[in-house]
Amino acid sequence: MVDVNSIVSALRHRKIAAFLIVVEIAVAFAILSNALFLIGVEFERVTIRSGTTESELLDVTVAPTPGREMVNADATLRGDLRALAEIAGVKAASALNQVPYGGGGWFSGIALKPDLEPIKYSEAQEVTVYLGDESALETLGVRLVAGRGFRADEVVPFAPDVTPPIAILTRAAATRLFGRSSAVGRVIYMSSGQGKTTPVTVIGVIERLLQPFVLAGQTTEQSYSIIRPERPSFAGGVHYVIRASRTDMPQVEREVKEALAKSDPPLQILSERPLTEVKSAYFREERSMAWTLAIVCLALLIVTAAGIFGLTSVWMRERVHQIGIRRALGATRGQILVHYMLENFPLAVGGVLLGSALAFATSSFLLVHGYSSSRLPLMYVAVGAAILLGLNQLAVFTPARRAATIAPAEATRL
Amino acid sequence: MLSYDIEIALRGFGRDKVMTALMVMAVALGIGASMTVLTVFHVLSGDPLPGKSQTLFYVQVDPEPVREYYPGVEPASRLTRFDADALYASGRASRQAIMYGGSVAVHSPNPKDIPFYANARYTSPDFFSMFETPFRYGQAWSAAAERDRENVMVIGKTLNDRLFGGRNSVGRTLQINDTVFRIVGVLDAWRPVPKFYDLYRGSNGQSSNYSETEDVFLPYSTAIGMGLKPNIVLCVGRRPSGMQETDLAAPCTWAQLWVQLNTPNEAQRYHAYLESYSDAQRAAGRFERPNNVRLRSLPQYLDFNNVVPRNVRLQLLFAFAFLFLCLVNTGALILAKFLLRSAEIGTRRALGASRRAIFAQHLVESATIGLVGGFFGLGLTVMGLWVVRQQPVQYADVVVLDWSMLALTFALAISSSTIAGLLPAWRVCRVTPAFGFKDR
Repeated sequence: MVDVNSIVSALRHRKIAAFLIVVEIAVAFAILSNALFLIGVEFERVTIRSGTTESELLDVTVAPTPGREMVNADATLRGDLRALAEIAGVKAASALNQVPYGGGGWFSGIALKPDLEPIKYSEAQEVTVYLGDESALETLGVRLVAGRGFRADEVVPFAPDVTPPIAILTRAAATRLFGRSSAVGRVIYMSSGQGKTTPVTVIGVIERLLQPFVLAGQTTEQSYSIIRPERPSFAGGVHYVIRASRTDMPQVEREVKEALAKSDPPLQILSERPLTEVKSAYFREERSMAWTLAIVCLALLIVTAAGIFGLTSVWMRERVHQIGIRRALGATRGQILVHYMLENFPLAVGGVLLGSALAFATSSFLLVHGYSSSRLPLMYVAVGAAILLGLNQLAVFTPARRAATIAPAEATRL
Repeated sequence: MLSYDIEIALRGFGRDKVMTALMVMAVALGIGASMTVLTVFHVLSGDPLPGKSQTLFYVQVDPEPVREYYPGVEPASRLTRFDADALYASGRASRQAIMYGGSVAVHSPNPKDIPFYANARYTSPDFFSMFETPFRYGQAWSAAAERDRENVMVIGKTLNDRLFGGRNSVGRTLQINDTVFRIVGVLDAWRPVPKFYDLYRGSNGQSSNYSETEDVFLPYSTAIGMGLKPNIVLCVGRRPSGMQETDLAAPCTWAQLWVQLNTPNEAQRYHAYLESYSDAQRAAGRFERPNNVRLRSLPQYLDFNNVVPRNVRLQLLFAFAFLFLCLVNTGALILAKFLLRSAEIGTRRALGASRRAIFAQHLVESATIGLVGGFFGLGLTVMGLWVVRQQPVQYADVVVLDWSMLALTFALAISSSTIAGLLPAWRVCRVTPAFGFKDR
C-alpha cells in the first residue's frame, strides 16, 4: 500500500530540491528527445539505398594525362572498357559520367510537351542525367522493371547539344510523369540547350538509381534519374565502374591499375575506391554528427542519473531515524522499498511534462533556424519519456534498497 | 577571517566523497563537451586577418536578367569577366585583387615524373599584399608583369617541397600545361581558416571553405590569355554557340574582385561608384535589373556565407544545453550536500558566524568544485579535440586549444559552478541558529 500523503509531505519539505530535479529532468528530456530525433534523421540519410549492388562496385575516376594528346577519346575509352571486362573476376564494366554518392551531378529538365519550357522541378525532384552504355544496367546491378536496356548499336559518344532519341527512367521519375500508366514507349522532351527540346522515347524503367547526392529528407524511393545511351567524355569526367564479387574485389582492384596503365594514351587514375567507401566518405559529416549527439545523450543520461542518485541518497540519510520508526511500527521492507521507489516518481512525471513543452519549443527553434526539416515526431517524445522515467527508477533503486535494509532499532538511536 | 572561510570550504569539499565526485563529474562532463565544441567554433569563426579584415571588401554587381528579380534579391556571387575587368581597370581602390580559381597540369622538372594536376589561383599581384601571404623566397610578380601577361608564377610551400625539396626555387622554371613559367616567389606555410577569399557553397551543401590554399598562383591576365577555365561558373544568360565562358562578352559569372578601402569614407565612395557603374551598364543595355550591388567587408562576407558549418553550430547548441543541465544538476547536489550539515551550520550560526560568512563559505566551496571539475573538464576537452582531429573533416588539422580557450575553460567551470551554488548557499545561510539543537 503506497502512502500518497507521506510522499506529498516529503516533497513539500524539499521545495527547492524538488524544483531543481523537475528542471533537470525537463531539460534532459528536451535535449534527449531532440537529439534522438536528429540521430534518427541522420541514420535515415545514411541508410538510403542507391538501387545498385553497392558492395560489388569499384569506382575508378580517370582523367587524361596532361600533355598527352588524345586523338580519339572514345576509342581510348572503349579500349579501356574491353580491357577491364577481360580481367578475371569482373562481371561487367561500364563508363559513366557520375556515380551515386559521388557529389555534384548532371541535371536536366524534362517535359511532356515540346513547346513548353522544360519543367523546372523544385530541387528535390530534379532529374539527374546518367550517361551509360549497353552494359551500364548490368554493371550497376539496377533492376529493370519494365521495357529493355540499351543495345550496343544505340550507344553513341557524348557530344554537346546532342540528345539521343531513347532513354531509361527510374520508376520514381516515370511515375511522376505518367502516373500509374506504363512509361515504356512514351515520349518525353529533354532540354538540349539553346532553349530547344528533343523528343526522347522511354524504352525501359528501372526500379531505382539514386542521384550523386542525397537531399535533405530524401527517401530511397525518391530517385529521379534518367539514363541516356552515351559514353561520357573525358572533359565532363569519367567514372569507370567495375562490378566483381566481394571475394574477387581485392585481386580485381590490383589488376584494374595494370589494365589502365596500358591505356593508350595513358590516363591518370584520380581515385580508385569501392562504392561502399565512396558512400562512407559522402556521409562522414552525418556520421560524425550522429556520434557527437549520441555521446551528448550518453553523458546526459549519466549526469541525470548521478543527480537523482545523489539527491535521493541524501534524502534517505536524513531520514534514517524516521525510517527506523516506520519499520518499528510495522512497515515491511517491501513497503519501505516501494515508498522510496515511488517517492520521486511524481517529480519525474512533472519533469517529463514540463520537458515535453520544452522539447517542442526546441524542435520549433531548430526547424525555424534550418537545423532540422521537420517537427519532432511523437515517437521520439515517447521514447525519450520512457528512457528518462526508467532512468529515474534505476537511479532511485540503490538508495531505496538501502533504506529498506534499515533496521527498526535505528529508531532508538540518536 | 577569509582564509578561515576558505579552509572550512575546502574541508567541506573534502567531505561526502561520493557526492563531491558526482558533482565534479557533472561539471567536468559539461565543461568537456561545451569547450570541445566551442573550441571548434572559435577556430572556424576566427578573424583570418585581425586588424585588417574591416578594410577588405568583396564586390558584387547584378548582371542577371530582370526575370526573377525582386527587391533585395542576392546578386550573383561572382562577376562576369566584363564587369570584373572593367571594375579592376578603373583602379578606384587603393589595392585590388581580381581572381578566379582553376586547376592546371604541372610538369615536374624531373622528366621521369608523370605530370599532375594542382589547384591554381589566377590573380593580380595585390592579392599577396592584401591577404598578407607569407613569402619564404622571392616576392609577388610586378604590376608590369601583370599588365604584360608575363609567364611568371608564385608557388605554395607544398609544391616547392615536392618539386624542389624546399630549396629556394626562385628563378627556376616550371611547365604549366603547355607553357613554361618562371618562379618569382615561394610562399611559406599559409593556411587561412576559413579559406576566406573564395567561399563557395554547392547546392548540396558541400563546400571547400576549409580546404588548403592553392599551390600555383599565376597572373590573371596570363591565365585569361591562355584560356584557362574557371572551376566554378554560373552562366546567367544565353551564350551564342561557339562562345567560351571565359570570353569577354560571355554572360557567365566566375571572376571575383576584392578591394582594399582603408576608411569608411572610401568604402562609401566605392559603393557609390558601383551604383554609377551599374547605371552606366544599364544605359548601355548590358544590365537589365535595377541597381543591385553589394560591397561586403570580409567579416560581413564570412557572416553572410555562414562559414561555420551548420553541424558545428548545432553541436554548440546541444553542448551548451548540456552544460546548463550539468549546472542544474550540480546545483541540486550542492543543495543536498549543504543541507546535510544544517545542524552544523545552525551551531556555527549560534556561535556567532554571520549569514554573510556562511554564504561566502558555501560559495567558495561551490567554486572549488568548479575548479576541480574544470581540471577534469580540460582533460576531456583535450580528448574531445583529439577525437575531432581524427575525423576526416577539412578543418581537422587546425582545431587546437589556444590560451584564450584554456582560460575560458576555467572561467566557465568556476563561474558555472558558482552560479549553481548561489541558490543552495542562499538557502543554507537562512538556517536558523541552533537549528541542530532543536532537531534532536
